Parts: sequence; structure tokens; C-alpha cells
Amino acid sequence: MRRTKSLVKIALVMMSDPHGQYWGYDLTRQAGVLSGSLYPILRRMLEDGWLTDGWEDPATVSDRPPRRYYELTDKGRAALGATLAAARRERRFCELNWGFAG
Amino acid sequence: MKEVLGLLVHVPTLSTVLFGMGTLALIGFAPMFTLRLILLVYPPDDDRRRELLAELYTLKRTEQMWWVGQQAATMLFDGVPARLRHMRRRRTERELAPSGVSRLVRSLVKALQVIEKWRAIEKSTTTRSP
Repeated sequence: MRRTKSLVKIALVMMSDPHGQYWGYDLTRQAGVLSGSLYPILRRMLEDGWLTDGWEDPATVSDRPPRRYYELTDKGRAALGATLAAARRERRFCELNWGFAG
Repeated sequence: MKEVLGLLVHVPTLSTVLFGMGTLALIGFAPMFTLRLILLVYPPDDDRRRELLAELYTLKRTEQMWWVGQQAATMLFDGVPARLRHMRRRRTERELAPSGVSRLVRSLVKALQVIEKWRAIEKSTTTRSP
């Protein structure tokens, strides 16, 4: 997958808790990426086997439909780790907030 | 002032402004309806339809307008390619297995029709001859 700024931002958020569950809207807010970029990236990550998806248990939500969540696979953790490692060396990504990932 | 009034009377400008205001009002007052319209671009079996609708329920009323506006861009970059892929897949499915079978069935039916015609002609000739 092409190493874009959006992908690196998403990788930063997801790799801060690699075993967590992520929702589309939360990801857009945390990563600071517009949903027009996020959802195509999520689709590609799903197709490449970097992510698995699932739906919230309907029994746990009452007043709204269940949301779809995403989780990183082992392949995805390795791939996003490699993406971050490569991005850290590139100049164009230096203004990103690397936090603990850096 | 005259120029502003002139612009207001100018029909293309007026219609553009009205269209823009109408769109904003639609997104603002009926975000769910607008989102459902946007989601029609996605293929019917795409999980994104359910996902985006469910996301909308979790948002505050003030955030919904901005979110739905963003989904127009999502539709362009995610929905349109998904729809095109879906159409291509359906076309190839139609061209491959089912179409081959249907072509065979169609030619068999045609052959049977021709045989029936011949038989009918034969019958009519045999009944006439004596």
C-alpha cells in the first residue's frame, strides 16, 4: 500500500493500541483524517488482510444500530509497524505527532 | 448595491445560490435522509451502508451536518469505485458461467422448435398425400 500521510496518521493511532477495536468515526477524529481518505484506506487494509472487522453485539446497544469495528491482524500489525518505521525516516512525515510511536 | 441586485436578478447566479441553500438545508434538517441518498451509490451488499448509518446515530446533532457533508466525498472516493467494481463483477459473472448455459439452453430450444416445425410440415404432407 502506498505510504501516504493519511495512512501514516491512521497507523499512528492504531499502533498506539495494536490490540484495540476501532470505529470509523473515532478513527477520523483521533487520526485527523477526513472520512473520504479513511474509508478507502480501511477497505484496502481489509482486502490486504491487515484488518478484520466485526459488528457490535446488538444486545449491548439499545437505541441505535450496531456499529462496525476494526481490529488489526498480526499481518496488519507487522505491516503498519514497518510503515511507521519507514515513515519515521522520511522528511515529509516529520511534522506528524509521533508521540510514543516515535 | 445595483451590482448586487443585478446579480440577484441574474438567473444562473440565483439558481446556483438557491441550489446551494437548498442542499445545505437538506443536509441540516434531514441528515439521515441525505445520508441514505448518498449511500444508494454503494452496492446493495456493501457493509459500508450499514456502517455509515450506524455511525450517524452516535453523533451529536451539531456534528451530523458536517459528517454527512463529508460522506459526499467518501461516496466519491469509496462508493463510486465500489459500485464500479460491483458492476464489473456482475458483468463478468453474466458473461461467464450463466451466459454459457443460457446460450446452450437457448440453442437447444431453437433446435427443438425447428424439429417440431419439420414434424408439423411432415405431418401435413403425409395427411395430404393419400
